[in-house]
Amino acid sequence: MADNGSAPQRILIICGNTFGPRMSSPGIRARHMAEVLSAALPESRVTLAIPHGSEPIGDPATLPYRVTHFSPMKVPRLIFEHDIVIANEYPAVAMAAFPWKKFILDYYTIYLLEWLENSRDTLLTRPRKRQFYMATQQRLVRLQLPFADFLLTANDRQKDYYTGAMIALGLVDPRAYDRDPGLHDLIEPVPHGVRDDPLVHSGKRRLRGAYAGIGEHDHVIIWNGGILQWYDPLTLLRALAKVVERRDDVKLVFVGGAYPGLGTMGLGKRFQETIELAKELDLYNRHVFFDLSWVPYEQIKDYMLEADIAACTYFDNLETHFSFRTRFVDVFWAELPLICTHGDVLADVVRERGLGVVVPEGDVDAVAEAIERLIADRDFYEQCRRNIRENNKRMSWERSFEPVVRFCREPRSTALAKWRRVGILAGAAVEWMASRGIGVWIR
Amino acid sequence: MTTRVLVLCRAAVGSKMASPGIRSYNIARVLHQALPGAQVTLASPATSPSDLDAASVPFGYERYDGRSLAGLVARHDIVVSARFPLKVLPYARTRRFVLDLYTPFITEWIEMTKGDPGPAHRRAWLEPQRKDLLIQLGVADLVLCANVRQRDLIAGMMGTVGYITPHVYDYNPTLDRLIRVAPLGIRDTAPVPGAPLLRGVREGFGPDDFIMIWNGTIVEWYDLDVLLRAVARVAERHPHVRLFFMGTEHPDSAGSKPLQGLGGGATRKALRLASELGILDRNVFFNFTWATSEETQQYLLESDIGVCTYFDSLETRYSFRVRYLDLLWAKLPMVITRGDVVAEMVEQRELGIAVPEGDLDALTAALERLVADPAFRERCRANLAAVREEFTWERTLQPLVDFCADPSQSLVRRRERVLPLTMRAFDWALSRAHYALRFETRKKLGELMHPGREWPTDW
Repeated sequence: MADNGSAPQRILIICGNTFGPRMSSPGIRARHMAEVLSAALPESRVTLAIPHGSEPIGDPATLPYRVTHFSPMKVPRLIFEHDIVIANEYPAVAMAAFPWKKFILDYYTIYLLEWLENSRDTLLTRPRKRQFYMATQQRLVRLQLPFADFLLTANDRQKDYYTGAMIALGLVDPRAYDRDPGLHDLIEPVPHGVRDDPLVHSGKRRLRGAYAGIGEHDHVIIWNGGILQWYDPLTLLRALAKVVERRDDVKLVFVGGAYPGLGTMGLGKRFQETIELAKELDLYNRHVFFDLSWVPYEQIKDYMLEADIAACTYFDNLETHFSFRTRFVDVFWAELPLICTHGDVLADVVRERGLGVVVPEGDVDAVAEAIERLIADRDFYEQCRRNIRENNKRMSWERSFEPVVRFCREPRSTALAKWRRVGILAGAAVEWMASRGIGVWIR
Repeated sequence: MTTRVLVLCRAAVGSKMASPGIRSYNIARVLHQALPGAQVTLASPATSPSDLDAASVPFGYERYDGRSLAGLVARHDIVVSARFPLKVLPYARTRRFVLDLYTPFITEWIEMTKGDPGPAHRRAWLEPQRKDLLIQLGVADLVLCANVRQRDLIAGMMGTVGYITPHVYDYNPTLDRLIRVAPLGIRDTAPVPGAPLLRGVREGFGPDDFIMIWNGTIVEWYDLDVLLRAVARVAERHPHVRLFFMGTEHPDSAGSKPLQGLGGGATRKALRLASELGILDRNVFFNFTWATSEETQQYLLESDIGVCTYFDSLETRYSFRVRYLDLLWAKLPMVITRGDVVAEMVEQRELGIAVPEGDLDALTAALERLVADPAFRERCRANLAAVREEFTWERTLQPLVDFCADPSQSLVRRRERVLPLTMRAFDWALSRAHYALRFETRKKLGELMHPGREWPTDW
């Protein structure tokens, strides 16, 4: 089908990760994308494709978009039936087979850094295998980037990174640059949005009363999300140990340990260290509680509404520098003042707009002081809440997805011409498949 | 054992230095000063119009040509350069290489090749440049850049082509042993005014005029259109404003006819517009030569504010413009376009006014405010004095000093890179050959067959 500007489009959103009530950020993002696109483009048809075994959210009959299940074999057919495809991973043949389709690549994290961190956890003792794994994964990125007619990232820093990546691979067309020198029609930041649900508790207690140690008048600090390799919960625990010496009514809950559909991710080395330290400091199940399952997207609201403060500590490294921590978004929704480490873009927002306290990396005293201040200084606490409420208006999903809506309305891309990309893609595909083939033999 | 450091400059050093020369000179100076045990040599090409007197500098100074280059590199342990010539690359196995990417050349190249010889020619020229950059990144033990955005851009390049290995990342998760921010610094002479060159001296300049200085070249990515129109508007109400373009000719295009070298086209367009607006030589003045270092200082010290306007582009986003450092040095409040890191600093620390891209009204208002509000100017000057201290060469080059003090901190495993670099070299050679066969040979043939005909300038 020839694209003639504003003609209605058939849009396909492929969610490669677990979808359903217990979904992590990729699923949440796909769902909101389907919602926003079907609302903003009423004349277009939006399809959300989710993996087999996942369940749709809400009654499919009343949803404004179609939900379908897919298996790897069904992907080509789905792509064939649509004009614009949005996904974070494409099968290598897709572009060669469907050169007339528009592909949006949704890269809202620096995968290289995530893999480096995760493989440090799982493959540290096998450096050769790890090195090979990383090389294979990098080939996968090199295979995906040539697909992008439009590349989405989560913030400006990621845009810089992927601009470098696209330049390195020869995917920035000098002529397109003349028309679009800021590359706004090629790479745009699309951060996670804040959900627009009302602040209403379902009635079922999740924390207060549900845990023997958490009382009605305790001050509850929530750690929202898994304890992955690049987080630093130990600093938070040590700070908490200091605080409870002075006051007994402060409780910390880690919510969401294991990731849905990703095996033991989230229950690795860092998680074990956290439990050990909690026991060593004699906080375990007295002041620190672990909720090990992944909390469904609907229920997390109750957890948030029962908490008083949110905290998240990490290291000031490259992962932090580039990250857009999606876990903060639900914290903002519930208007919880946040204690976080400096270094990432959201920490800048927290500092500039007064949404909580930003602490230096690994600074136990600063964290302890921040906790005590948010508990003792009610004016400051309320001011933070007001600032968060104000800020949430600027972080809606509708605003985030504006570039995607713009692209779907008028698929104007300044990507390199497709036929020029095929060569790059073919090279990357051969490299990747060879790498996968050899990888089987490296144990 | 003394560390021997070679600062390989690819441009002129001496009295008429542009930023590559200034940077190399200061690297040599700071390294010599900070590492008393080290032996530092500054080298500039024999073909460049360098006039530095070897006896006047405390470090070594040599000029090199294609033949002496390899020997020169062989006599040193660490080589600092913005680009390592092909001939030098094999020494990467035994010498430490510091790649000094203080400007992200690739975006500049894309900008500079706009227009002229046609898209196929341009693409064919850019391909080997890109591949060469990937080779350069591959041989570097340390990459220097000018700001955090450039760091992210370079991290994206290096990460994607496989230079950020688990080994590098595990030992150094911030990557600051691989890519460091080391911007240009401000000049080290004291801002003491000398005999006037403009006020009451140059034709058209009265002693009490309000002088706005454009202290750098004019190239394609600058937006002179909006600036000239804004000046024309301001001049209606404040006839004593003067916009002075300090130097339009790039020193490296010396020898070519006036307005034929780098940026010549943009300058011609600006001249035309200024005369159309009727402000040429009344409110707007062009200096058609490249100002020497001493002249530049004097021009800056006689000016009231600095101006610079440009377009929103990748070049802008990643740039760290040298001219701003001179404005810092002279404590001149700035009126500049938003989009680069310095504009962010101007807004956050009140060093002047940053305006949106192409916004004539905002620019006019900003210029008028600076003309009419001396108290604001004074406040900016006080803030500029504080920022100036952060940009001494000694401070900006500290990461390089750290590296040269202990080059063993390099995390690059050469073994891992041999194969990919060999393949990249082949890849580069293919695109280079393609360019040579398709365009250079044709041009040479054309010149033989049609002597005297005008051919597109070779970049």
